[in-house]
Amino acid sequence: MRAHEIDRRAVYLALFIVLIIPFLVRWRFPVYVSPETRAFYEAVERADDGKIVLLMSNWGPGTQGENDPQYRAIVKHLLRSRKRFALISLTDDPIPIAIADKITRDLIEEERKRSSGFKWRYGVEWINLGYKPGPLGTTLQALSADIWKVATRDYTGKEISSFEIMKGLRTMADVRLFITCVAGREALDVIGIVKSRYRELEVVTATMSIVATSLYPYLDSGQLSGMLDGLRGANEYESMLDPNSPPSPRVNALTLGHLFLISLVILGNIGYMRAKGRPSPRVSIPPVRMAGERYIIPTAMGMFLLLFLLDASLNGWRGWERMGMWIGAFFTISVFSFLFGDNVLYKAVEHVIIGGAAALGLYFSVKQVLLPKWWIPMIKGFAGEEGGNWLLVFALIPGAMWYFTYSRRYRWMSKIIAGAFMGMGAGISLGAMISLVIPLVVGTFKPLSNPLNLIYVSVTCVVLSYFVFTFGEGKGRVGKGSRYMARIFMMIGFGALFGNTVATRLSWLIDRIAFLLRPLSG
Amino acid sequence: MKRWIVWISVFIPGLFYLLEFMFSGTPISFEGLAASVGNLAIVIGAFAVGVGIINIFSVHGRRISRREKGWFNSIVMFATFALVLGLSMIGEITGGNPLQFYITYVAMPLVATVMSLLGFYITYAAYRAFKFTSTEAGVMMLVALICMLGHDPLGNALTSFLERTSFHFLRFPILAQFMMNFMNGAVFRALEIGIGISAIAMSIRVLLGLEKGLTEGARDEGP
Repeated sequence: MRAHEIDRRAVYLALFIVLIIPFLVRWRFPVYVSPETRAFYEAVERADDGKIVLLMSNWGPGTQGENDPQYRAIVKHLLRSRKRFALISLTDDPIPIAIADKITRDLIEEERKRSSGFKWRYGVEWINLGYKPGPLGTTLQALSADIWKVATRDYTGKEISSFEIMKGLRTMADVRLFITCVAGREALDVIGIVKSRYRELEVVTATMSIVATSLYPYLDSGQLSGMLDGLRGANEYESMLDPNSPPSPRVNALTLGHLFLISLVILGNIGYMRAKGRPSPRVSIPPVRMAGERYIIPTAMGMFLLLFLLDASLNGWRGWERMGMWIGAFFTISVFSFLFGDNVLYKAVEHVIIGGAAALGLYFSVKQVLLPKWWIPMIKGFAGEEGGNWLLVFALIPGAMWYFTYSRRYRWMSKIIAGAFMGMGAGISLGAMISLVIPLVVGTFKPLSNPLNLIYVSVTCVVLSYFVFTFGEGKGRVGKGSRYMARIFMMIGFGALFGNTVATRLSWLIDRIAFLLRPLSG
Repeated sequence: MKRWIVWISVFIPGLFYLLEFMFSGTPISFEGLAASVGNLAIVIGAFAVGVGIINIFSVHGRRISRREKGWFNSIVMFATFALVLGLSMIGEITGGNPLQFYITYVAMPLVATVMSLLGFYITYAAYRAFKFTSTEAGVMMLVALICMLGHDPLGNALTSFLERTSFHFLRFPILAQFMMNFMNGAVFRALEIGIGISAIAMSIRVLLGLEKGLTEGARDEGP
């Protein structure tokens, strides 16, 4: 076997073992706090003029490896600096708000234990406005005009008018700082749609490393006031909040993961260089196949049983929560079994995901949208009660149009409603993009008295010119040189993107390893 | 005729929101009306959830009725659907109820683990495919290495001896910061400007009905 042809399963196993080490052995290195994290911290500190902080939490289990530590650090800071905040989730997925609510309540309890006399009352100092499904642009637009219209009830289903905190939160003018703790680029929608109307509003974002790479220009242009870049950002933020905090095994695992990957790349390149001159066999990535089912399922079950027995012997029976951890461990190992080949166990849990997601989607669409925003006001309207609107019955007509997609004869009618949503998206996106791009273009032309600015402007212009096809295919020395330099510059950007992509993927994996080891650590 | 109806259904809401953006903050602003329209759109959008459910049911129902390959998995899907819907009916989502239990100990581990598989794949892919085959590949590899080490506390510790020397700018975190904030910032600024202009052009095409996907279908189908 050549150095660049190690079996994938051996690599997976080695990576798994490497990432476990920091959970068994603890060490600590000094943390370097980046400017974007510092700016985030300072933006939260500045938000202190009687207004409210709006915290948007749009992340779910898929990205919790990065977003969970970020969210915890942000809420901890808000609590310790006594900033009143409203929590909201603008996504079609009901799970993010459930996670955020639980973490927030746990942290309030932790802070109460940490400092005696600490109180953070629901409805007075903080509120959970629930999750608001629908197109993000439309919801943000509606939210920026009238928060009460979008969030009619809080997460627990009570009318928001009954909460004291909501008296000072009617429009975005009442919000000083908009924090987005998200898995994507939602901060750009907030800048384009909300900040374009409320110039004094500061926007900061905590997002995955893979996404953060493309947000650095918005930090430079001042449209974003600060950013937490993945797990690294969360760790830096924690170190600012509590310089004596214990070492983070997750960050150490990320470091080891990086070192392991770098070693593999070096090994792969050595093998590649050595094999370069020789006629090499075809290099192909082994396909995923239905193989070894006989061994995969017993192995997965054996691992689960081992965890179960270890936990039971170390900790004994500790109620439903511990039982839940075992169930979670079973599902985690079932999914990991796919690494060694497709198998019956993985296929079954895959269908558990589909069934569960469909049921949750149906339930929450009815409970969070159709009942409070359509059915209840409509019935109240017919009964002549206050706050009712019988005209909502006509929403059934466009709502029913979706279902014409099943009729070959009338399918075109479903395109009317789909088209209306497309048009809304296009209209909102047009305005938002204009608000986003103009400051970027204007901000590119910095004073050239500073040589660094000259380099910055040149890099931007050269890369832009690469995509302007009217310049032709780069004829002549200048054209060819410019295209070559543009490729080199873009490779710098893609190198940074790759580094951050690795950080994101490994953070997700580390989170699962931490989950599997949790029962054993008590 | 149908094509025109579909195009008008695209154009009018688009124009409405474009005008709303243009007049926002002026005396003739109609933000309140736009908020009401947005709220109605959320309700109408929620009606579409049934389309997804019908699709899933028809695909898996057909698989079971015809005993197609993997039909047993479809039964698992239906069973989970019924179980989760049942749990949803039993209790609210706030602390300590069955639905919360399902979300915390079944849904979250499953989704998070599926995503975490990418950690294994990217490591193996980097090993197999990240080769120094050209200057461009070499530059990308070097920058990736600097960013990975520069963002780790280990990278900071390894070069901390340079902190009080005139070569302090060679410390990994400083180099990574330069690559990420400055060089990457300049490159992505160009890319973002390009993407932004393309998105503006695309929105205009959609509003003017030049994107054929939606309107063409309306012409071809039906009586």
